[in-house]
Amino acid sequence: MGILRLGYAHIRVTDLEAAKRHYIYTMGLRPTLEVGNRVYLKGWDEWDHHSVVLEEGGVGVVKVGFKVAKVEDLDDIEAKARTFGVTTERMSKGDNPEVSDGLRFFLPSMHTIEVYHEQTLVGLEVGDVNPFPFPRDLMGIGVPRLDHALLGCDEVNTSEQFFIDVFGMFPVERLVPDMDHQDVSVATWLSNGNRTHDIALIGGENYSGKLHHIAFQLEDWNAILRAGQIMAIDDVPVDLGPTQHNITRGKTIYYFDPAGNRNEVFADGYVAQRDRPCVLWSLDLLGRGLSTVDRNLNETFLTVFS
Amino acid sequence: MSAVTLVGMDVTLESREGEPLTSTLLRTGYMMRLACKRGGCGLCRVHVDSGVTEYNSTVAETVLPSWEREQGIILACRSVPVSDVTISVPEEGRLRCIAPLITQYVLREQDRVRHRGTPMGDTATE
Ligand code: FES
Ligand SMILES: [Fe+2]
Repeated sequence: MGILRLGYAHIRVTDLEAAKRHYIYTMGLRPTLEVGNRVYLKGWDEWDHHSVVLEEGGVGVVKVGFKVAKVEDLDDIEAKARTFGVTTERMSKGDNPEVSDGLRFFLPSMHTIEVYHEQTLVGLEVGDVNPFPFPRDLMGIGVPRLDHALLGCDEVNTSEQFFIDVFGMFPVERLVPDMDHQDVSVATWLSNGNRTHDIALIGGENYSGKLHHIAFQLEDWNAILRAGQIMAIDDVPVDLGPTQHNITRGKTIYYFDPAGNRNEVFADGYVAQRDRPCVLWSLDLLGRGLSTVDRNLNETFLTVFS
Repeated sequence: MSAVTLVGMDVTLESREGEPLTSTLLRTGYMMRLACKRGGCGLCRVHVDSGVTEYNSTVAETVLPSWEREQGIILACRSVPVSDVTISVPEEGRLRCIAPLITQYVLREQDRVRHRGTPMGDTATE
């Protein structure tokens, strides 16, 4: 079975109270634990203890965690990582509250990655017996779950290959310089099941270790528009959208949290399967890739990381 | 209320109480390079030529290191003037007027208040 999903994103924020207002009051995540300078949060349609961790002090990403199905998967990933040339260390149960033991390592892109097999089961907020479609008292946008993250890399190919060889993911779409240089990944969208991406990577000078965005899933275009309206009410700075990407066909808005970390709300996207031909994008038509309608490049979207 | 003078624009804008510099610019018809408006991306770097500003929220060392701060560089989106200030936007910040009708109104209005002490449209005291 191996990797199940991107389980958590642990990010830095300059002001914990302001971040809590954003992630709880505007985004609608539920806090499950607060210790010291950290808050742990989950979406209403997630069952594990947390998917987002906010840590006060700075800005950017501390680490991301991937959940595997079984404890034995850890050995398998450890062995494959060694073959790949990445050294892993064992993390202990309790290194992260409510998270099992697991593995920790640096991706070639310098991001800290953790792999674990269990988190304390909190349960779906709607329950799992005769449930209604959503909780009655959702806050703000009411995002159901963390969907994916886009990480920056100085060089994409090596980290992309890591996710393929070690995590068993497959590239659903890739941005390449042009069709004569299809082997060079400028960006890549990697899937692990049948979503268009569980993790994505984008390349550029000094991008390593940086966060482009973390994304929350929403239902559809209507939910995206409503999310945008709530962002306006709550004075959330918006970077891009509402729009639809041709890349993954996701409907989207990008915006910033109170520390300047970029978030996204993301809906739809097609069903990706392992034998689906990988879609290629060339740099000259990146504008079309980023938006189905206006096709213009947005300066800040491609330059701003945290 | 502080006066914000923009070098190269030959203009002085009245900022509102607690208003970050970028908000003053956007409200008065100007635009400059910015993204997050939350002190996280560092795109809105400007230089304080004179006067004092303070941050309305912590700015991380990774976004604006102290050696730049010591040279008078600030992030405009998190900086609130506490005195009259003179600000230089670097060339790559591309400060420009994008809505002259707003700018002209604001400047006329500032002038009016300065000379008569009466906001435009306030007929009660005229
Ligand atoms: S606009 Fe991002 S730091 Fe000011
Ligand atoms: Fe995304």
